[in-house]
This record gives sequence, structure tokens and C-alpha cells, in this order.
Amino acid sequence: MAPIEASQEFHAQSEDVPGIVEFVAARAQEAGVGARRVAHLRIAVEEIALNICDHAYGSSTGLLGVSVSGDGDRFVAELFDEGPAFDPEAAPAPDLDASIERRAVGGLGVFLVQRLMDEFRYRREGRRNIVTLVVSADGQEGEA
Amino acid sequence: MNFETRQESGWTVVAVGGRLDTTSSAEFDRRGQELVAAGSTRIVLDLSELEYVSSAGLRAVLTTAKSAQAAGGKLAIAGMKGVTKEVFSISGFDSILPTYADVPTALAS
Repeated sequence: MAPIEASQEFHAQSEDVPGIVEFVAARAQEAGVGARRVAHLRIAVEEIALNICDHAYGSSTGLLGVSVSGDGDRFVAELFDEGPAFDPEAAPAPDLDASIERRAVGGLGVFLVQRLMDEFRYRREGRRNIVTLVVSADGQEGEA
Repeated sequence: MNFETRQESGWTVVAVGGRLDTTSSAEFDRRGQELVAAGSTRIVLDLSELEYVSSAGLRAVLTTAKSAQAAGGKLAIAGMKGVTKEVFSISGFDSILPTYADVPTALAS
């Protein structure tokens, strides 16, 4: 299938998150990314977009931009905001051994992103925080 | 998200289908709390038709499980597959909640 390149601007507010997830998932499907990896992308984009909504602009809102590119073998999604520098990977990892009563869930979303994506990077570029998510075809389609 | 309940062998079986994400987790949370408040504290979540779960969905499942436990019951997970199973495994939630291959196995436990 033909390579895809697209971008769209959203607002950093939780009401926009479903639309952001749909935008990335639809472009990934068009590019030929398999169903299992599209589901991984949906989860990762939701986690990162919610993070941006929570952290980028305090109690206010602002730009949450999304750009995607790639094909079924390697698909890249970038989410960016114009808030103060914020590295999502700096969130504390969850305690996976804690019992159900004691379990804290902080950092769980970012942990899932780290494990589900083939690449997960953060960079500060000018006044933008940019998170890059990459999925590759992994030959596991059909097992899901 | 679909959320369908039925009574079976003294358990409340909740079939959850579709996506358990930031959009649907609030509804899951609300309906889970309603079940426990109504006395249905022995819950089997049938996730065989669930496409995937995000961290918001995991939190909602955990909240319901804690409520069921606090009321003297329990919450078990049955029928996970695909990306749902992956996420439960990665997050360790499959070790803090009892999980079964399918609903009949859970009911027989």
C-alpha cells in the first residue's frame, strides 16, 4: 500500500483524545498497518495524548498537533505540544509486584507505551515537546 | 463498549466488548460500582470480545475489583485474548486478579 503522510491540529483537552486516536488509527490502517499493531498504536496515542492534556498547559489548553508518516512496515506518529518541557518517560514506573490493595497506578500508561511501541522517543525542539511513536510490522498478525 | 450482565451459578457474569479506553472507562466504572452496590459482589468479567484495554480501562477494572473485595466478594477475569491479554500481562494485572481461560472455567473454580 502507498506510504501515508498526514497531519492535523487538535486541542489539548480530553474531549479531543478520541478524535486524535481515530485520526492516527485510520491513517495507520490506510498505510497497511496490521490490526494488532493498530490496536497497540491506539493505546499508545491515547496514553500520550492524555498525558499532554494533563501536563502541557496547566488548567488551560493549547495546541496538540499530530503528524503521521510511513507504510505498513514502519509507521511513525508524532504528537507535539507547546507547553513547558515535559519528558513523559520521566514518570515513575509502576510497582508491578504490589498487591491489589496497595497498588498505585501512576506511570502505568507510559509503561504500556514503552512496552507496546517499537520506538518511543521524546525531544524538545524549539518551544515544542515532541513524542515519537513507531510501530513495525512484526509478522505476528493472526496471533492476536 | 458493550456491557452485558447475566447471573450464572451464583456469579454475575459481565460480558465486556469493544474497547475499554478513556472514553468508555467512566461508564464501566459507574456500572461496576452499581453492580457492587446492588449486592452483585461475585463478578466474572468475560473479556473474550474485548478488542483492547488502555490504562484508563485497567484502572476502572481495578476500582471495580477493589469495591467487590471490600464488599466481601471478588472479581475474576475470563476469556482474555489478543491485545487485551497482552496489556494485562505487560501491566501485571493478570497476576493481581484471578484469570481463567473462559467463563465456564471461572465458574467452576
